[in-house]
Amino acid sequence: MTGFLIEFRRSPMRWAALPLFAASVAMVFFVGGSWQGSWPETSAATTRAAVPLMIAGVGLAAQQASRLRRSGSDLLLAARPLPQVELTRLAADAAWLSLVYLLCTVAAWATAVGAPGGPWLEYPVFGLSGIVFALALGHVLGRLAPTRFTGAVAAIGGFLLFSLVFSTNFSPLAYTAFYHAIDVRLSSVHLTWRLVVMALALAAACTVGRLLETGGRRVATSGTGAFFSAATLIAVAAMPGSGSLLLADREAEEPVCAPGGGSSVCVWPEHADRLPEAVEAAGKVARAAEGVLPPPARYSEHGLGDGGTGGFTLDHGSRDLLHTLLLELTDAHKTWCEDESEKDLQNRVNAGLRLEAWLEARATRSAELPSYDYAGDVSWQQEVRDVLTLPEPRQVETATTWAEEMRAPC
Amino acid sequence: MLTREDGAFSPLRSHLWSHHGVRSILFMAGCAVALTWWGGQAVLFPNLSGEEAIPATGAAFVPLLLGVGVLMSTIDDMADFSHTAALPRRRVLSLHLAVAFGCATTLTCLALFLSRDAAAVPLALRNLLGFTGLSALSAALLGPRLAWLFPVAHTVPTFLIGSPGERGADARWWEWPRAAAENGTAWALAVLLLVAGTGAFLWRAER
Repeated sequence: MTGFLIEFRRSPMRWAALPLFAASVAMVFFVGGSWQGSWPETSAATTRAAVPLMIAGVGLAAQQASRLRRSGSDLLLAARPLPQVELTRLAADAAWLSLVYLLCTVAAWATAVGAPGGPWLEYPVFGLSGIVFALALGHVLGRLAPTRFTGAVAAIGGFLLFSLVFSTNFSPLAYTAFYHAIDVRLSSVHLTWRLVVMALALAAACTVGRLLETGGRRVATSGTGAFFSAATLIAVAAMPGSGSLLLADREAEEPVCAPGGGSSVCVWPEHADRLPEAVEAAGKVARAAEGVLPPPARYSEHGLGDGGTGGFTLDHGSRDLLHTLLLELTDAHKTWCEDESEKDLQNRVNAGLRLEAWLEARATRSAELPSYDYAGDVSWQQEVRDVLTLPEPRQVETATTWAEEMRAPC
Repeated sequence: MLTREDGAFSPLRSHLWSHHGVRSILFMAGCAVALTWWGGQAVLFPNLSGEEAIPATGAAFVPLLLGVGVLMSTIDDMADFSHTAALPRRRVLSLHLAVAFGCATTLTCLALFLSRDAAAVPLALRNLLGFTGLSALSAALLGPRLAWLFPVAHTVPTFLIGSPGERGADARWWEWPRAAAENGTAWALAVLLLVAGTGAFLWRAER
């Protein structure tokens, strides 16, 4: 413990902590507010805070390892086994960066206080494991190529590596949970894989020094470093689960429901405080569709429906909420035929598009049509604009015709 | 090595030797090779803010390394000796920074001319000014070995959550490295960083 405290006090990370805290806070708070207000989304957004810490961590660890190797001071520390010294040093560096990361996480979580539910702890574990891996990687780089420029080159290399190579949702070293909707959460397989990679990289970082010091002369000690280095590479590339996604669909839980627009409107428990917003939108949709289409028995938020498909979304503004609710309404009445001519299918699709555009204009009390990009022939839009200028009974009559075309039997 | 052939002491040779001048030049030359290869080609960095990803060119990114190289070339392996030298350290460092910055500028222009991206020269020079300033600020506060920390800490949010728009037309003030070459605010910030950074670095050098 004394060794750790000594390393903690003299680690160069202490000087880097403040600028890195500023960069991490910027990564979370300089992004629009759609991540704020619910625990799952806020917890996922905090993974962005780890990005500058991982990138700078590679550089700082590389610089420190390189400097110690060049100065030869490792030999002075020979009173303790070298792997133990390296582990203590890495632990102290990791403690500083983790402290910065946890401070950012707490600051982000503060914005979600009062929302239903609680913080999702797997996201901080994801971020912390990324930071420890980055430190281990930097340490190995510093050991292998000790020059005065190693730190800077390792940091820039880390930037390009994490942002361009490991940025996919398949990589165990993804630097952030890119998509943070309420209906997904970190895959436990992927998180376990990431933790295994981190542990192996850490073991490699602590033993590769001995390999270099002995120049491979002592088979037992050099073999350990080589084994852990190879195992890390294998774990990154070839472990089971390499085809799995970082984020998996969340298991549907007992939703929170309330009556609205003649239906039952259901949301995820963490969005219970936003249920009135969804109920109000369902009411607008029901009023717009009055006399044309009956409301479905239930409106479900995205991920709560059967098989996790469909559903309305609360995270992209009130207009998107209305639009996705409308789609829920019309989808419940659509008929899809297996054997249908292309012309009939096009007529059916166009009837649905006309109806949805008309309903959305009515629900938003606007004379303008929603400005979505439609492929193919869009001449039907003019027809909808013309209908919107007609008296109310004539509009309902035309919309009823579109609804009948849309749900006509096969 | 520190003396001329006739045995007399050579301050220039001594300075270059203690600052590993050749290695610094080689580092900058390596960056210039990367700039020649990447040049004006656009690389799409992921945008973590969820907005549309905007491609970044080598002319915007590589000056970061060149700016860091300028400051890291001031690392002095004979610091104790240099501080007791007759010539004030501030004057020596001013000259050193001017020459190193001149080398970085020349290499940047040469690399972009070789990659046939001469139109990107103003953007690269502006970013070289700004990143050199940020590196100098970092070196003043944390030491020249950590000269890369401030530029990297600034580059991460700029390139990963910034939304500067097509050709950098909508860049916000903190996204200055990605702003269009004709953006006056970005130029002003780059010059301000250079002046403040080198000023702070030279001021600290005497202490």
